[in-house]
Amino acid sequence: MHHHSGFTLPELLVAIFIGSLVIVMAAQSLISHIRLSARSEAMMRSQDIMSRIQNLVDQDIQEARCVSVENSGNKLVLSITTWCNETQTGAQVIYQSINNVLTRTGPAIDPTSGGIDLSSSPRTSTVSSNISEFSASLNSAGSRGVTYSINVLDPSGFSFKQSKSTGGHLRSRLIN
Amino acid sequence: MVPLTLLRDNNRSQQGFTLVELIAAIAVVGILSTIGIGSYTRITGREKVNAVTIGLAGWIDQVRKASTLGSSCTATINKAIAPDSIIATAALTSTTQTAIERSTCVPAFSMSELSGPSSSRSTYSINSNNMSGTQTVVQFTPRGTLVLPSGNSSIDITVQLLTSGPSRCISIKDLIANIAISKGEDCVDQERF
Repeated sequence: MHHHSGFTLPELLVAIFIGSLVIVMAAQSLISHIRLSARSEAMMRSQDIMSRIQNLVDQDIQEARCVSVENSGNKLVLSITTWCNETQTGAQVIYQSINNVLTRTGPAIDPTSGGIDLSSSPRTSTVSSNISEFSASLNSAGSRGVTYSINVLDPSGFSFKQSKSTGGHLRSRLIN
Repeated sequence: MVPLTLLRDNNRSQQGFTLVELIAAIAVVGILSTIGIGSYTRITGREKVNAVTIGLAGWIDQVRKASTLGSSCTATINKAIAPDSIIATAALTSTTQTAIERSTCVPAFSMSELSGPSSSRSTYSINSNNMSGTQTVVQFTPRGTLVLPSGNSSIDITVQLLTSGPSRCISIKDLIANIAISKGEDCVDQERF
């Protein structure tokens, strides 16, 4: 009889088992690496968006004479021309988030000076989409500040939240 | 004397490829290389457009950052781009209202900033929904916000490799000037930048 040399079935099974074990371990570490890098990328994007929004909101807060919060924090109303103790309503800048879109309603930002152009008619413009949460609250009376938090929903599926007590202060103390 | 049978065997072993076999092999190689060259041309075309698009998007973000230093900057992007031409320039929107003493925003963005000799570069066409004559205008306020054309929520800039090559779109969206680059040719289908 001629001897047919080769791998036996048990040998083959053991080899396949060891091979698949190695592949599974490699795939796991690869997947976790991809997830981590996607997450850190999403975090950088979200932080960039947050800092841009904060820049925008803080400067409007600095120009405001009075600030109030409506819709249980979802709506931030900045009175630009009237103090808190005045009864009439002057020019206002309103930030609110509806259906994941943060909007700014009010006089336009002057293209050359960057200040609020009070002569322009109020308009609503999108500040950023993918903002799943915008909530503002007044700091304790007299501290002249607003705290707000923003939750950015990244298209990759991750979401990041950041709260910020504004560096920008109102022109006057809050009057309760 | 060599036996007759050996001679016959020798003759048989000298047989080579027949003409039909050769033609078939050449045809297969021809078809494969045609496919290969075609996809190579497509890939290089796409990469060329990517290079210009990503470079331009980064440059526009630099203009935005320069604006936040205190004075509004306006970027002007040319429509017809030759291998050696300037793609875009940025200037102060108003020279009288400068918060900080300076005369420029950011240096111009030109084709020479892309790698390779000018002979290897191509020509492009850059169009947008905010053209002034043959130039795209993008203005930022000193707060880094985008000045949007009336009726639009974004400025969409399409970069196309000439002639009839692939194109990609840069979309500058919303007040905070989020810059996104399209995955393909459609401005709506976007990746985050």
